[in-house]
Amino acid sequence: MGADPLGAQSIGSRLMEFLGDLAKWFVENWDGSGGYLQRTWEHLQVSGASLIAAAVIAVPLGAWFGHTGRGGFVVVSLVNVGRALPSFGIVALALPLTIWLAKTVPFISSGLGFLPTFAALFALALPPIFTNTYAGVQGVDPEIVEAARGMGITETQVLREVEIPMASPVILTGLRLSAVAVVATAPLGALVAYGGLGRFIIDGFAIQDDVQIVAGALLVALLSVLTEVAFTWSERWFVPSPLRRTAESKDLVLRPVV
Amino acid sequence: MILAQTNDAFFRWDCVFSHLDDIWAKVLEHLVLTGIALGFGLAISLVLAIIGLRFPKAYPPITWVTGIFYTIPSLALFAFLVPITGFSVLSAEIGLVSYTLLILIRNIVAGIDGVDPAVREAAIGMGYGRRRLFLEIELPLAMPVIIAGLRIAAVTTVGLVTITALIGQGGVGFFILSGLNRFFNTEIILGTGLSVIIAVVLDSALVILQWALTPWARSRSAVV
Amino acid sequence: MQPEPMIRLDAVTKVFPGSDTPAVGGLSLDIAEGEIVVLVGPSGCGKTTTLKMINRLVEPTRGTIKVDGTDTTTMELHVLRRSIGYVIQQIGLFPHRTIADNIGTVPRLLGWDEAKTQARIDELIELVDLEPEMRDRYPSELSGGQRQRVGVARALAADPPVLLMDEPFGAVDPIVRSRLQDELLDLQARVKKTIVLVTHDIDEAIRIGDRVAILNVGGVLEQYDSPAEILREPANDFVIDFLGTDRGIKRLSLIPLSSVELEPGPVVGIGDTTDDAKAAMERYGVDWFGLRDGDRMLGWAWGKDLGAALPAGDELYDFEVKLSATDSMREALDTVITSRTKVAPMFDGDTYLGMVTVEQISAELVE
Repeated sequence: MGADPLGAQSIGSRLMEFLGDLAKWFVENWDGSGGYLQRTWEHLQVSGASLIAAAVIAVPLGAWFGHTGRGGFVVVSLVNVGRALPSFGIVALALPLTIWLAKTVPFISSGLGFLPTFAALFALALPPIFTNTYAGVQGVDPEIVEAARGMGITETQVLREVEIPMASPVILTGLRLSAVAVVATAPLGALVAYGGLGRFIIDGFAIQDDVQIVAGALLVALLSVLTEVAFTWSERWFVPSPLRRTAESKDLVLRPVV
Repeated sequence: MILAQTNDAFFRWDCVFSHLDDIWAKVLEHLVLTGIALGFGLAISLVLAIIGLRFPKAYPPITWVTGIFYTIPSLALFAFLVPITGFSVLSAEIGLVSYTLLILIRNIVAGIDGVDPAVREAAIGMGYGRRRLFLEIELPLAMPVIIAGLRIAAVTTVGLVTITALIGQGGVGFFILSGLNRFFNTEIILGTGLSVIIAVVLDSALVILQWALTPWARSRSAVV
Repeated sequence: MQPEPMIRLDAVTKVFPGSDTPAVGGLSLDIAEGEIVVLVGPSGCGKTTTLKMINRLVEPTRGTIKVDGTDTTTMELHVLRRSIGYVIQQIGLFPHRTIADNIGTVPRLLGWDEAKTQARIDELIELVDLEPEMRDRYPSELSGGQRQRVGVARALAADPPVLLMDEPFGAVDPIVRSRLQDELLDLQARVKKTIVLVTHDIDEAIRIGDRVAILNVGGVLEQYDSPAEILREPANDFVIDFLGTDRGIKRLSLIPLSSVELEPGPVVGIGDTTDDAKAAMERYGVDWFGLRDGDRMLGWAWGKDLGAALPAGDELYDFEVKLSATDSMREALDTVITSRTKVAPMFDGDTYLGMVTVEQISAELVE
């Protein structure tokens, strides 16, 4: 009788072999300029930079618009446009832009690599942070805001000391969504000559190296999940305890990761 | 590599018009990829949603698993699939379908849960059985919410299809990739623009579908 | 030999999982065919639970329920429910179906042929006083009162012998509610269904029930009798409390003026003299008199204003409230108390029929 009718044996052994190769890869490739530690660092660099840049611009803007209550239409349009624009397209469009920038602006040396990746991720990170901050500030109970005004504090103080703290869960959600989206889209930077963990996937595709592809994918997935978890935990630090949400909050989800 | 092309004429309409056949072929490919993903996604989501509604204990694991798919970056997901199913339509579709699941399941369940409890009680009290209750009462009333989810799934899928260019598929993503490799702006803009247009058209089509399927929501004049 | 009751509850008990005390503990109740029985009581008395056990939306833990002689647990759920009409407070009209399709729900579930269904729909629309144009409208286009009527029509569509109603008039304002109650009584006069109705409003129970079952917490049956009997002889302190302190007045509301023998009152005709007027006032011990022209009441005047002749039309006061045969003694009491004349005059259109005095009213209560 056939001991292995479905070829399960050979699939099983091939799988074991593959996992062995994978483990070997992780052991061997951690250091050097092409090693995964370096790549992870590159990945985090561009992600962090674009996230911080986007937050610096989008949080004040969103807070201001939310506070004054204007620009609701902008928010809705942003959500819809943001969802329809493919991330791939954004990264690709960044390239000619940054190349042109490199030509015209003297101190920018190269239009490839970091710059287009940063530019694309920055554009990607803006909408979730903006719309969530806007919604958060705008959604603060108007009675509380009015009570605060009634106590005689200035508009800026109202914004700073009442609205933003009360909106912090939603703002943090926006930051989390952006962070995860950015970390997840950064691999596409490999297409515009950047490093990062996407390098393994893209290069792996090119030379059909399954081990490298899967290794890269694992690292990217891991980093993405870690980012999600890290931001969810950080709620504990930044959000005043009465306002903390559980995991099932109403996200203003704009796009899935990449 | 012709660097000169990167900063001359921003968008070469002549190139576009001379390649309309190719463009149309890619648009069709894009639509097919999207359609298959949404079709299978909806079918699977319906099944999982019904299971989640029938057995509430099963719902959290279902959302947990589909949520994980959602969190994995799409490039990584496609990358995981390549060693198994290669640079094929199947790899693309498995990935694309996985992304639709979370949003569709959530919306189907929310839609059905959102049916007025009085309506459900009246229906059961009048003698509706489980199956007919679901098909004739709950599902039609959940339509608006389900289609809202379908719209989001559709638009996101259209965007994700572009990434499948990296594993040999791509639809209009082909133009984005090609333009990127050749430093050809026109192609990049064409690919991105077409993706947006397809997304908008699909979204509008679904809005019209919703309008057609919900005649009772049209006549919104309450007579006092 | 007593005919089999239409609905028989026999020691019906319901204990909800996770609870020590039963929501309904051993309730036995008979409901005769063609009567309206109202289940009323404070919250927690299990009235709604009891109602829902009849069509098994809630399954009894113990005891049996028989509808038309058949044990409900032996019937298939859908079959049972399709043979019983069910109306709930929020009605639950299907928003995605037209009024006609809503009404035709159960006939279609039962597989009636289309022509029969459509005919029945038309019949019911007329029966509940809706305009035929409503047929193709959607529930969102109807007012609350109209939706209520559709709900009742829908429940009656398959001509079930039994109708269950759970606080059916709770969600509308008091004016509409009163009208709907009248319409239900009207309808019942025409279709003679066996109706079990749940309400928390004792006045509603008294108004529309043929018999009222007063339930205490845990489904304890405190009294089960006609409204008049309960008001006349409440069984215990709980019932007395539940009926409220104005029990006597509630009893009055059950007595229609048409059943009362009217007094002519201190009324004289235009052809009579001032002495006749004085004699009339003296006979009734009042300080005013009424003046009529044939059967038509012109008005009344104070005795002290009586001059040499009977007053003319424009010197007379009008009776502020004119009661009719459909009013009850309760309205009469209200009129007596609030009018200057201290009587309640009764009219049939413009024709003066007589009056009701406060002595007559208390006589009714004391007997």
